[in-house]
Amino acid sequence: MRVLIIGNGAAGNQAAACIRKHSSECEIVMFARESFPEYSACALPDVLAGWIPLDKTFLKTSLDYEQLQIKTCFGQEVNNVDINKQCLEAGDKKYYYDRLIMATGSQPIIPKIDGSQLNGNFVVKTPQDIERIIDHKPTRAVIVGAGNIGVETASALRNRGCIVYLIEMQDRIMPLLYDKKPADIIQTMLEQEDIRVFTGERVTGVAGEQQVERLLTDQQEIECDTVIWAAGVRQNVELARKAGLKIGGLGGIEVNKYMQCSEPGVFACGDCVQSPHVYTGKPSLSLLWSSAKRQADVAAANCMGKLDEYEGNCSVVIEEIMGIPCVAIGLNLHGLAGYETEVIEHESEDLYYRLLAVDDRVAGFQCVGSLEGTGSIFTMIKKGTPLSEARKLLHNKGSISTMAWYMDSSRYIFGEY
Amino acid sequence: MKRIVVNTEACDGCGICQLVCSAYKAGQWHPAFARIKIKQLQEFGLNVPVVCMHCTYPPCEIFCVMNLIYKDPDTAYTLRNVERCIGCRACEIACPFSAAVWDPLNEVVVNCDLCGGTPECVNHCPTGALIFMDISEAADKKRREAAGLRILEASRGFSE
Repeated sequence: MRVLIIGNGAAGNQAAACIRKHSSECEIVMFARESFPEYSACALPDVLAGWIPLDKTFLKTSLDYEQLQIKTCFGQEVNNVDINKQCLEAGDKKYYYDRLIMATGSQPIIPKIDGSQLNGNFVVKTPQDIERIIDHKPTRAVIVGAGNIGVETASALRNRGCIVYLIEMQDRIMPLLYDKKPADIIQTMLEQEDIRVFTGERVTGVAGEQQVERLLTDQQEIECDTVIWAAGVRQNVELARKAGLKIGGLGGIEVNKYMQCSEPGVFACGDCVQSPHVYTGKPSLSLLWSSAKRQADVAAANCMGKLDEYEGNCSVVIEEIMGIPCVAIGLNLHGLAGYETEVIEHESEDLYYRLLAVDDRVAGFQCVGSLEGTGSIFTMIKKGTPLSEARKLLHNKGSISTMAWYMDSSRYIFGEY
Repeated sequence: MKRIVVNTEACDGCGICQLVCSAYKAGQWHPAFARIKIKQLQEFGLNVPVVCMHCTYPPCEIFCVMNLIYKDPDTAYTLRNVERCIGCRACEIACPFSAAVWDPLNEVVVNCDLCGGTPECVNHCPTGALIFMDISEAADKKRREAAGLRILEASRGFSE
């Protein structure tokens, strides 16, 4: 059997490793546009901050691919996929497959506005991006988009000694992860770090002669030499679209719970797909490392004829700001719009949390100041444990003696400190 | 597949396992550095040691952004190439048992590695609350105990 994998990110590599676990004979060939081995995108802000060296972000060497008996065609764009003939074209050669895994990933969006092509505009996606930013020697930087990548990049550049501005279009930072209250707390923490945060502002353009000199928003002009775009990503689905695979309404490749695409023999996983949310069951995009790896496991198992189902997306994002951990799990009120949501909330000097429950089920959790018990809350969200059942278990000596870790979550479930 | 099995009834919460673990694994003498934790549930009068369960499909492995958590092919222990850890703490949230432990000295996350097959916490446990045994045996033992209890209850009912 021969499996071809397009993409050399978290999903592609996890799929390859998982196929190898299932079978030592299966032929695996990986294709990628980039010519460097797998790296961890999540570690890039740490490099930018100067906490770890750049070479630490690489997770594999070319030797590792050899050891796993994976053939690599890196630095080679796949031009075409012919699903009827089960073959793809890369370079001038044709490669036939029994199964194809699309793990083409995503790329950051730089909007087509005035000045966004000037020298000094960057994104944070590959190790090369980080090298370019460091070589540019930024002193005054504006980060557009306060998602988790934006916030991490802002912290990192501040750590390098830059003057940092963070611009967000919505009314709060990390709008897809946190509600207004916790977002405001985190914003205050960022401002204590001397990051200048502006929410509710739309960027209209970048000005400068040859270099970035100013960033223009609908409310102000900011003098800067560096602009970093962290305002969302676009799924790389061109190849899939050309091949005739169904593309969903959110812009990702459509897959079922077996990570199968609309055509037989083709699987997809990672940033490029849209899959049901674990709570709502509605199609959603998950651009997280963990989702990519889990989806890749499922795709690899099913493509080797072993049944495995994907539970659905559930976002888990953790940030550490000034040494204080901030966690967002599942959906926030924005994601739960239209549901009648119960909010269990607590605020004290060094801890803030809110637990969102719909119909007796935990749907989301946001916490600033502690990581204790977040593991069991996450498990509850994934499993759909009813809140009333969890409360009952926590009062029962017999059940709690075998499940003591449940106790960690009790303060959140009962809403007490 | 031998694992650490806990007999909750026997644990009196002395904390020797934590101190021994901190000494062997971190060169310290303080429970904060231990990879085994004792949950004290005062309202139930219970002390429950919590330690890595070495899951068959570990969620921490999926969540690790540096891909440094792996299952040992021979022993099926969940191990880490901890020198590559960047301390992002994602595995801490992934673990339902709170058994991935933050190491404040090196700013990395660690878990129990069963001391390579001879867990020192078990060796030093004075009450026999920690047992290093085959998990299938442990399940059998539990089942036998539960069955024995039911027979006992049934016979009581009979004699009354």
